[in-house]
Amino acid sequence: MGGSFRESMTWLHTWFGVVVGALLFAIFWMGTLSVFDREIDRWMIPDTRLPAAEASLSLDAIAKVAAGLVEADTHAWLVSFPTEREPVARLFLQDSQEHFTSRFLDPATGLLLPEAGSRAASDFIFPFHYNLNLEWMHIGYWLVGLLGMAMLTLIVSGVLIHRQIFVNFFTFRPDRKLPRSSLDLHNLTGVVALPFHFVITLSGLIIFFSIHFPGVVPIVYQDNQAEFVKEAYGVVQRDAAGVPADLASLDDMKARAARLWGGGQPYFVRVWHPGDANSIVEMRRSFTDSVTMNLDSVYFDGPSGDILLTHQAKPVMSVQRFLAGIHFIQFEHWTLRWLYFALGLAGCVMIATGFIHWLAARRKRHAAQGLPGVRIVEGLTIGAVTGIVVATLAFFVANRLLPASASLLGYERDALEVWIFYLVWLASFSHGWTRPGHAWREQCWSIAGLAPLAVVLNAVTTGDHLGRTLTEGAWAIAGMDLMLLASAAIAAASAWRLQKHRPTMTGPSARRTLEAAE
Amino acid sequence: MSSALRITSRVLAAVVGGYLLAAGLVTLAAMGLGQAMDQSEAVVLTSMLGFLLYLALVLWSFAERRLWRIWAVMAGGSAASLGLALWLAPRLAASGPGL
Repeated sequence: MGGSFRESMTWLHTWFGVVVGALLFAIFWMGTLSVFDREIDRWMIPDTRLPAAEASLSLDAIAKVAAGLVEADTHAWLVSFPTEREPVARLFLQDSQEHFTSRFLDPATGLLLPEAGSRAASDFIFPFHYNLNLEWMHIGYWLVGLLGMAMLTLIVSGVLIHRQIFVNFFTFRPDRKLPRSSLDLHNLTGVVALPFHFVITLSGLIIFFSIHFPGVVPIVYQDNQAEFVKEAYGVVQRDAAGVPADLASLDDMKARAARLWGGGQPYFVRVWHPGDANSIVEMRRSFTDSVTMNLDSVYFDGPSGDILLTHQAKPVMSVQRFLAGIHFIQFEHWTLRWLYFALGLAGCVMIATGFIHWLAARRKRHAAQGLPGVRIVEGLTIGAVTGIVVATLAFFVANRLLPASASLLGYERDALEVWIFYLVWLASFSHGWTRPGHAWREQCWSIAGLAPLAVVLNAVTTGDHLGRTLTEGAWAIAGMDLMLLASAAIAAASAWRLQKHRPTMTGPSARRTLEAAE
Repeated sequence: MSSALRITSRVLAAVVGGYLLAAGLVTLAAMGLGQAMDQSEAVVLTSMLGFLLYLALVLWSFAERRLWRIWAVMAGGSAASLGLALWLAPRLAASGPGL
């Protein structure tokens, strides 16, 4: 750029931040919630609030249940086993277009639970985090990838424009006027969580390296791309024979896999071409006890149970799986899980205060010159920050209010929940743009109202009130309710403060103040 | 050139040009390293490093004053690296023991 190195980095930081900040906040918010995706699932799908299963369930019994669900178009079925965080098994059916449908399974009885009726966290909040639920042509992955690169750029430029990194670590002057206090908080959250934010963003990109650098394998491997998949992931594929055949005992195969893995257990089992003479059984080793999401797998010939292939990731791929594991946090560690949650929220605060600082630093000048920038960005910020929180809460409330059989205009219950999320989010932006002086406060009050409403609705519709969940140790449900109440308290306190400081906060009244001063 | 046009040009050079150059160098390096280590490992290694390379290229695009220089490096570099990769790949695939 024109000026010094520091000036050009400041320009980059300011403008990349304003342009990508809104979506970046959404990704951070959804990622932060995804840290507790299984717990949110339990809250949103009450049928799955089961006590931890004592007996390990028979795979052959599950295979019988799956056989009852298999249709002509079924390419494969797979089952994921219960974990400490997820007391249910889940049965997925994969059709020839590689679309998945799934049902939860009670691991104690092997019985199918009723349709989930909700995409909850695993199927809505989590995919939103990594592809904005835009699957067409991988466009969502690309957008999130670009935002991830922008985030890295913001982190590095943010560090480079700093004079006093160490001092920022200890500086927060909330009593100062807005541009100063918001910058303090932006710097504080940015500096404290800097290593986390850098690693989490880079690892997020590295997870999808093959999507983000899609040309490498086709160019390097030419006509032999399947070779890469075989080398890197150890996949066995073959066409169906068209001849029916029975499956050998899956429990036997599972026991043999466990021996190969020195006692390690599979976390999922997939049967390709079920019922066919060319069926293949794929078993993947669990990684709940390590950071690295290993690629250990065993493939069996379905009818005979013979081992077709065993695979382990090579060293560099293991590094990739370690970085993925740092990001996915699928290992069992409650302290770290809460730390991830807190650092994720710190990222949200950093993005929000970055916006607020941008606005506060320009408010007077834009008002005086009649520039629209502050007003546009303020509405964007409101919708991006408080708006997505309101929309998420509306998603939770709708989840507890919609009847099991709800459908509208051809949309099923789970789709309606998602529609409510998007409509409320959209409305929060227009609210932000049309009531600039009031929207922050009003959306904070909405959060303060919706969050306790969700807690009450959960108690009324399921009977799992805090008195019960806390005494019975149902921590997923109790934790969700307590977090909702905490959000309500923070939102109410913020709304209250905004109410008190109203005259200095609002766009139009700032203009009036300025005009009065002149 | 107006300042808006200059900024657009710089952002394009950084985001698109930087990406193509990073992708070109990742591909070329994957082929080179593939001669010394497992080919799939080389692809994973260079792809992972590619994100850091892209980051460095984007930052440089905003630190460098002369716009023509950014475009020269990005356009020239990506054309050369991708061109060389495309030219080399079928020859290596035909002869290389790694594939």
